[in-house]
Amino acid sequence: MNNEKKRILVVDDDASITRLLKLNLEQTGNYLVRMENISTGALAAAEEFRPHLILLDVMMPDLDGGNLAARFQANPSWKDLPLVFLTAAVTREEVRARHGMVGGLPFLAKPVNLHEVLRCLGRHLGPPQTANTP
Amino acid sequence: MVHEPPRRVRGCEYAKQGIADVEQRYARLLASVTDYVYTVVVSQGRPVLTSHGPGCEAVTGYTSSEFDAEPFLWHRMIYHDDRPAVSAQAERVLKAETPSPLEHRIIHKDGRLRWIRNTPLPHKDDQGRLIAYDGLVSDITERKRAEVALRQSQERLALVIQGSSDGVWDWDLTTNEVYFSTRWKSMLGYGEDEVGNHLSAWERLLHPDDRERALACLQAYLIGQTSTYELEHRLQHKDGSYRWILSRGVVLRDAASQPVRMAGSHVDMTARKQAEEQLKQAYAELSQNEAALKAALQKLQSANQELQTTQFQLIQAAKLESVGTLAAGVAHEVKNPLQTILLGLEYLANNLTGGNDNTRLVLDDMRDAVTRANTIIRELLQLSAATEFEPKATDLNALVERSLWLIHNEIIASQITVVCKLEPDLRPVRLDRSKVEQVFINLFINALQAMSQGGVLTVTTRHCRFGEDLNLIGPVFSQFKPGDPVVITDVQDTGQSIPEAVLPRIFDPFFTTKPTGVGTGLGLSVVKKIMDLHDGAIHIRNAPLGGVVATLLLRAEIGKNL
Repeated sequence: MNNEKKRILVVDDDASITRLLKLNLEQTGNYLVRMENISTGALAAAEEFRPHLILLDVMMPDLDGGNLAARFQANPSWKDLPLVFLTAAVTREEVRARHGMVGGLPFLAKPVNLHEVLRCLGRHLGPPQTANTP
Repeated sequence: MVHEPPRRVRGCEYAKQGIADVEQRYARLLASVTDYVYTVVVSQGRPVLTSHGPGCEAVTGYTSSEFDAEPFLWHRMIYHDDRPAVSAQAERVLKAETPSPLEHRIIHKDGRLRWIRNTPLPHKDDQGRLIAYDGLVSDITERKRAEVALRQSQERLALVIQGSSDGVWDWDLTTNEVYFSTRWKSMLGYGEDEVGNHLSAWERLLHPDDRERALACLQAYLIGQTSTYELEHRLQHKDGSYRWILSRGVVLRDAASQPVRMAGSHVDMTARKQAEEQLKQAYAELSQNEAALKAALQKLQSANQELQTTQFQLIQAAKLESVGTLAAGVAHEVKNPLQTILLGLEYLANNLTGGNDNTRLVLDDMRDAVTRANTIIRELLQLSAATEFEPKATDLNALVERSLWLIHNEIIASQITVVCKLEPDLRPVRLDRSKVEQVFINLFINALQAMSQGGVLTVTTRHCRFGEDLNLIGPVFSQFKPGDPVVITDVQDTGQSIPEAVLPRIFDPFFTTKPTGVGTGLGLSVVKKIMDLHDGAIHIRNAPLGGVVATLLLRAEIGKNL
């Protein structure tokens, strides 16, 4: 049995969003969340945090989510790491029409509720092992 | 007039009448005498005695005694230019010849010129010698004056005729001979000897179409039906062409009022007729141009109307465009705060301690508010012109069913019955699936909201050729031509009708009849935009038995299967 919590790296220049994702996800007891509000620091944070999945905003100053994703995929150590975009740039309908994928990568359209985030995480990481729910 | 007192009188008559009376009578008599006789006695070939008979005073102004008194008076009287002729005549007479009468001038005693005619007649003896000659002197001044006047008049007429461009004709009705002037002939290209001098010459030249009218006109004038003779007719030119001639004339009648002579003129009015014709043609062209102008004006007006309609549509499009552009810019900035609020609400809900229902209710309302705000942003984005368009041949029936499935939660919640009458083997339609799906969802949601007390939502699909369904008329379907293959979808509800006054505005952005918070006022704008994008049409009307029918027209793919 692997009781280890899944590590999620959340990269978004909006600190309130990263903070609330961290609070909500960690409250489930299944995830450990690291926040990163500066996109250029994401690679270093990943090296240190070793996430199981990255939730990635698209429109960010300095380095946008698309380029950041390309850098992760170009890196042999991270090329198999699941990346999920979380962005206001697409609508919920567009995500649905593309079966949750844009440019080969899964997408979540802001504003997304916690339930959708959890379902998405479950899809990529498998069902949570140590749910604190009864 | 003779002013001298009478010289020879008979005394018995004077006693009875006043002197003045007699003088007047004598003067009158004298004036009426125009001839007198003279006798010249000849001896050995020379005139020896001349006696002027009574009447010589009336003609010459001199009495016989005056002639007697002055042997050379006669010779002196002769107008000097005529003296050689008179002398020549005298010489011939003296040679015992009988010369022809001589007309010459004399100077009357009153100083005026007189014309006389002197007709001498020789008398010979048995041996044929001239012994005397008599002569008749006639005053022909009046005749000469008339002759001169006539000649001058004739010359004047000839000059006028020659100088005028008119042709002249003179018709003797007793013989039907006609004099045609040179100009009359040359007007028609003929030389002097090329036209006969008979009425038939004119008749031969008549244009067949004018013949009857011309003869009738002439006849009417001759029998007095018309008071003037004026005829416009065509005569054939020598070159074969026809000339328009204006003929005018006057008739002369005899004592029995029978026409005996008729004369008149010809004016070539071909140029005038041609000008008239050109004028007529120009006028006709003008009328035609006017008609063309009117047609053009009408076209212009309808074009202007179209332009106005297009302009209106452009304004609508521009409105949507700016809304879309604005929305795209705003969406990103608004969605992040919405994300924060949504996740914040979830966190608060999960960390509520105790069973405070009101707090939970407030949090739910706030979550709904976020959803609504997000819906507005989504619809605004759908209006954006930048959205992609990916048409594919599609089974519209399947799309209807998928759209219904997407809102099945709402359908169940609103207790609505859904009836689908989908035509089997429906012709495929080339469309952007996600966009038309949006159309259906918007229409279905509208229908659900109109049937808050429950009801029936009927979705019907069928294909036909445009024009077969007589309900589909009006400018909204103007992009379809009769015979175009179309797929028709009717979305009908049994809810509230739309007030007729509101119907024209239902596609305007932000126009809504729904209570605040229920609709964004963008749903039908999005539907219209998507239908336009597909070159389709949407028509929304109240159903006769209540409720609303939305009819969608899309072009069917011909000869293609899915």
